[in-house]
Amino acid sequence: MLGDIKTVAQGTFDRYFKMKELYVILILCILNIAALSRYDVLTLNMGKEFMIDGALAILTVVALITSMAVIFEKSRELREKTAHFIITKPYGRSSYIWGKFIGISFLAIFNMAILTAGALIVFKLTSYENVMANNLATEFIYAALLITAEAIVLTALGLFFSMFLSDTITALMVLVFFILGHSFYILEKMSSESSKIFGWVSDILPNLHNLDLKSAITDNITITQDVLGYGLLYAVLYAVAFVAASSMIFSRKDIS
Amino acid sequence: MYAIETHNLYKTFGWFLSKRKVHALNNLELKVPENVIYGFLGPNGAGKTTTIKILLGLVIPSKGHSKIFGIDTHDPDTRNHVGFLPENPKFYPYLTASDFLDFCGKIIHMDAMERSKRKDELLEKVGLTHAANQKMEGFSRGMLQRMGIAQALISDPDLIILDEPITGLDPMGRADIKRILLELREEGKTIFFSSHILSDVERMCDMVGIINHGQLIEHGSLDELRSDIGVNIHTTGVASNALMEGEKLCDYITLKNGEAIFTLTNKSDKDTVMKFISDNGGSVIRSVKLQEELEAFFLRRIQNDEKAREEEVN
Repeated sequence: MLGDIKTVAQGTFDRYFKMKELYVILILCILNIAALSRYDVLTLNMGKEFMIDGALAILTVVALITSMAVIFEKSRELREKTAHFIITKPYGRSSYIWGKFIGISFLAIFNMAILTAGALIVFKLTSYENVMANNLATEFIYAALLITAEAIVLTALGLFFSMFLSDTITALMVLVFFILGHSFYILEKMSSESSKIFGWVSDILPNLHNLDLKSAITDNITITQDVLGYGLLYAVLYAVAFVAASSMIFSRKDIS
Repeated sequence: MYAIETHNLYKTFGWFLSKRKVHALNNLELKVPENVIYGFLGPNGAGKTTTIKILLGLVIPSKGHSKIFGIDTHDPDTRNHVGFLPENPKFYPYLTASDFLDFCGKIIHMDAMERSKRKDELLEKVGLTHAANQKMEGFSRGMLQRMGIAQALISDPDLIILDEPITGLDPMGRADIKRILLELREEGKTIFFSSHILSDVERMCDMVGIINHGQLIEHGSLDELRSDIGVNIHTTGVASNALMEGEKLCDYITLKNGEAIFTLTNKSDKDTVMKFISDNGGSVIRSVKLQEELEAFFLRRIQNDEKAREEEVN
């Protein structure tokens, strides 16, 4: 089964890896980050913070778009019956879902790696020497890692919703969960010693605030490895649970 | 043992409480022997594709059983013995024919050497060796269909299931597919396919099954199913001045390669014609039975079934 998953994942990743359009988008994003350096005056000498914040926002948008690829990819392959070559093989259905998830997750890692490297080069090339100082580069990488984890969570959610809903509705649901997910920390705040239920609910919904370091970095709050570790563990467990559920549903679903 | 066997098979689409339920299969009993080309026929919406999907585990039956080589299709291992070509499939356009077969080989855990050997064999079998390194985005419909058959054969399956393999192909493409299917039968494979092109089914199939409203209404070899509609009596030596007279006794007479062929329908009196031939100095070379065309049989059978259903409702 692992071999099947690897084949499907590799096929999915290769498909995007060979797309010229992907590189055009990534280059445009890096140029966009570079363009943010021109706003120092307009932001009243807050150019550095604006640039970091802007770079992380661009990474987040790319992560969101990447995660949505799985929805349309799976649906198109089922509609065009390309997927039938895989899912009519023994144990093919679970392998197909896990393979798609891992393939798109690797695509998210690839995109984030390119953008992070691009952003760090841009920081170095611009006159903001202090951006690279005080471990900011390391913390930027931490933030990018958690944004990648967020993409993986959203990919898992997208796969899950696509089991019941159409492509467009699924994409909208992912967008809604992306927006709400960054607000569910409010529920966490409502949680108290006596009633932890809000905290649990916020983690189940999902709580994407756990994966959001944008404000912390911009405000020069030191990010510990515990925060990173907790965020990554949360994302992996969350994604695995949803992909496992999707795989179980897909294995019992009629393929029209 | 049968290659395919279904017993009491039902499939209903629609939610549990939904009023708009579709009964795609309704007590389907199907038995396909090994090493035959079996044509699975039926009007649109009769349940052909649903049956195929159940056999491949793509659709879960509401009730009943289906077996492939004696093993229930719930068991995923049955799919090790089956190759499948869906209707109008799309392929990864950025892959070459060779890369695609390599990908299919990886899915069934073939090692690199085995894959390399198998893809060369298959490309040769389907006549695409020349296009091995071409991207499939430039392939014609016929080439894509042949690629579909090649991928279905990657695991050297004993049973090949094809959903409308010849629909939408030009005569050359259809001839290619027919050639490949006949070769596969010679190799001992069982081929089960659905089609609307009855003339091709008639030429290729050993057996056919006709499904309507999710039920098998006919099943058997073409000879068993089609009615005799007459006979062609090939003769020689019949006096040419007697032929005008002879035409009154049969439907018509054709002159071909020095033979006079008397075509008789079931209404004609064969004994009178035979006597006429001998009385006029002729001798019978051979008699060829005339059977109704599959298309005529198919239409007649479907119409009868529809009528019977209407009467049952009334």
